Amino acid sequence: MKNRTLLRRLNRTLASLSSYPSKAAITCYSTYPPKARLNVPTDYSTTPLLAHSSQTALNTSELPPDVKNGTTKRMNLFQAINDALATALVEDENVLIFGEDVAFGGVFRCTMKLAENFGSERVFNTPLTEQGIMGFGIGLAAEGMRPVAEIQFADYVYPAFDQLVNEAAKYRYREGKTGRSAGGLTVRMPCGGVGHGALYHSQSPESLFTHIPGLRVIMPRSPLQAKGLLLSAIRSNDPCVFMEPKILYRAAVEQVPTSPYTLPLSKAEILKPGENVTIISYGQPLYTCHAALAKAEQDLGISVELIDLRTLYPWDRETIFKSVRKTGRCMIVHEAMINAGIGAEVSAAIQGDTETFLRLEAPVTRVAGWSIHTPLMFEKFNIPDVANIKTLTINEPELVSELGPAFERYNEEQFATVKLPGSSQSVVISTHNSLGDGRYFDPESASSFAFDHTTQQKASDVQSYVLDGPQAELVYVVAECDMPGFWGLGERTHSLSFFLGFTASIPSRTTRKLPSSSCPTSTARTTFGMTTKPLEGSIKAPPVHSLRGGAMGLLTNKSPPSAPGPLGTGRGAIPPKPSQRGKKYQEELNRGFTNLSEGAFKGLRRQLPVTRQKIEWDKVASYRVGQEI
Amino acid sequence: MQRINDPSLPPRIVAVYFGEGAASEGDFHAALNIAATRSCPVVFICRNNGYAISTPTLDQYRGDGIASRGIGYGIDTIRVDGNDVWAVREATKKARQMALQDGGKPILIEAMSYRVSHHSTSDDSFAYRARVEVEDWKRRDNPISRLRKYMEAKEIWDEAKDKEAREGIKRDVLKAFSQAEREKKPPIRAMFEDVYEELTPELRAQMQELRDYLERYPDEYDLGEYEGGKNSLDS
Repeated sequence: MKNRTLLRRLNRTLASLSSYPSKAAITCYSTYPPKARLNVPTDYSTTPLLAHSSQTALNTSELPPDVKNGTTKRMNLFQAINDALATALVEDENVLIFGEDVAFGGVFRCTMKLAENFGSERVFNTPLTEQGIMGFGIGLAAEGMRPVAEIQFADYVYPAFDQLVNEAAKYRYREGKTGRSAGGLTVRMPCGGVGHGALYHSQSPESLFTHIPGLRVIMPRSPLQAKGLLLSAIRSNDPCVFMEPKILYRAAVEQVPTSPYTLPLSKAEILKPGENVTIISYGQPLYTCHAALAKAEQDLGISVELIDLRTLYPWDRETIFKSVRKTGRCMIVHEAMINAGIGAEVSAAIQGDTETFLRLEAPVTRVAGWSIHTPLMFEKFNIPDVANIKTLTINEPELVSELGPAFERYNEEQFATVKLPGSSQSVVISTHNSLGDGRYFDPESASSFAFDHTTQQKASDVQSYVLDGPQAELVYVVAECDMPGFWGLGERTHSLSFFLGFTASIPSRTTRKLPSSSCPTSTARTTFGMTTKPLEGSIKAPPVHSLRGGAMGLLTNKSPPSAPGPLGTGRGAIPPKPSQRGKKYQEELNRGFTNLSEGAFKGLRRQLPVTRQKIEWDKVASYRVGQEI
Repeated sequence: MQRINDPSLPPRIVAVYFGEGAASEGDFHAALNIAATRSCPVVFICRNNGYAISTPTLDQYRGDGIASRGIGYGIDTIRVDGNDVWAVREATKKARQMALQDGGKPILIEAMSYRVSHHSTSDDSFAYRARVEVEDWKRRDNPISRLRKYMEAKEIWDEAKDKEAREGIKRDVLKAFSQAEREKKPPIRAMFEDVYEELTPELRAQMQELRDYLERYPDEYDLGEYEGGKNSLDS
């Protein structure tokens, strides 16, 4: 009896091992714990990421009208790829398909019946040499053919690297005006884990290709996508690396339009709109992400936006930036190693884009494979799973509270402003008026209040607060500023504050909202209205945030010239004529603006229409910095 | 090289096994050339079984097999009947001797055979070759039955011994299977080890991160089968 159980188990194991390439479906046979709620196998038959009905498939927005009016057929990923390859062979007689074991249909059945139907001149086996396959393809492409080469597993592509990097990618660049390139080349390769591929049959080396300018790297998530993207790749005049998540070959089944169609390269797709966090992924992990976000939305009441990158390089920056600007939070998920992966590139670009960076409310996170080789029995601990993704999503509140001190510092250094309840005046948040414990002092209303550093919006718990001690008399409204936008400030108003930062750490301030329309380009005027009392301190003008131009630093920290003064504290003195200091500061600013506008003026002259040395002075004169020319 | 430094070491050679498919890769050619020019005591043993997964030798090369390439690189080469156990043994023995002569040199052996099995458990080879072709080879030129016939002729093997050996081996394999199944899987920590000689700070942090997930979601992971469970991740 015991023996029989054992045998049965053995048979089952063997059966699952034998699932690729030509027998039953490739299945991930790793078990999952009985009580698991999150890490359960992906149910491809219900996921909304696949078009289960003909109508859904035909409603795909990117399809041309004639395809939308056509028919569909149920296909899995390898059938959709087979369909695309057959279409390409019919459409263009320059298309050739070759690779290891391609003639009998390929180990994953993607080229089934193609050699039979199109002849062994156009669909054929190559010797077992990836560098040979690639070199052969590059030669064909350079002579105007449209080769579609297959590398049996992405894990086998490394011998072809020299050909791909030094020949295919650089061909156009080094040829220059002759116009020749290896653009006709498309290289297909299966990638990713299936549960038991281990070191040499489950790698995802996409980021090795995305580091190579000149190559287009594409990874489809579904049969419908694969057909359109592969046809685009074959028609594309740039060499394309087309990576197929092999676990989806049989697992992902959906309705695919029967007519030929293409889907745009280098264009991401928003699979599900959301408000609070953007998840960016590609290929198989999208299904995991979708399961995770469904749970996160259900458990936490948040709304998640899911984006399929589709083309991994050159990738669609606009769609990603736009989404992150909206949600303020972003997570990138991929199966490949986290180190120097796609996530690194995308998150670096997000933080490098000023407008997107300024909208970030949390650090960009990555959920990806660990920095290890693809393990065998540990695969399920390496590939991102629902619990991983969800954990990071629900971690948001925790993450935010962990970042509390950083927010506090940011707000204080950036002189964030807040309006007290019932007051129209803004109060500045700074270290100078901090009373500790997250409370701040408002000199105008002589009250203290609590400030929420995370939202930057709420001032609460206002209590009257009387300053005592010798510092009390130092509180003045000292500076009034009329400081028009030195930047193209657009339609926004900006608050600008001048400080006298005292050793006693009590600020004086005024804030003033400045409409940008009052912005002469080179005449900034600062007027300091000071009392005659001598003061000690340094003048601080805070950095100005312009959403268009980024942070502009005006922070100075100058010690005033020392002069004897009668201040009761006896702590040094203040220049008797603060207006002198104001003037000096003013002059410095003016010099800055002069330089700025001179630069702008020179730029302007280069661009404005000049007819026979006649400069259109009207246009020059009416130009304002920041305006579109 | 090691023997030059330490003459007490026994003379050693390197044996490299590969198929006729792998001989199409660039590294085969690079290896032959560098072994020849640097006089390395390497015995290259090519098992030419007619198929690289589905690709027959006709699609693999057009020259005179793999042996002709050895000669091109200036390597002493022999082609043997790969289904003749004694021929392969003899050739390999001689090759080892020659590889150690004159301060070392490479030798190439091409053993001709036929693959009667599938490429792997996940391959169904009848998709690209006739079943009758395989059966024919199995019957006509099978190294195992050839050896058996030889041993039977020498009266050192018979039906009873054959039955006993088959049953004994099967029993041993199943026993080993059940033993292996009872054993725990290696600790999860092993996943992070041996990437570098020492765990890097990044890997340590990742280990900790994984441990946090496992702790936070005890129901989502089955850790009982791994030696030490999640505790193996403690750094």
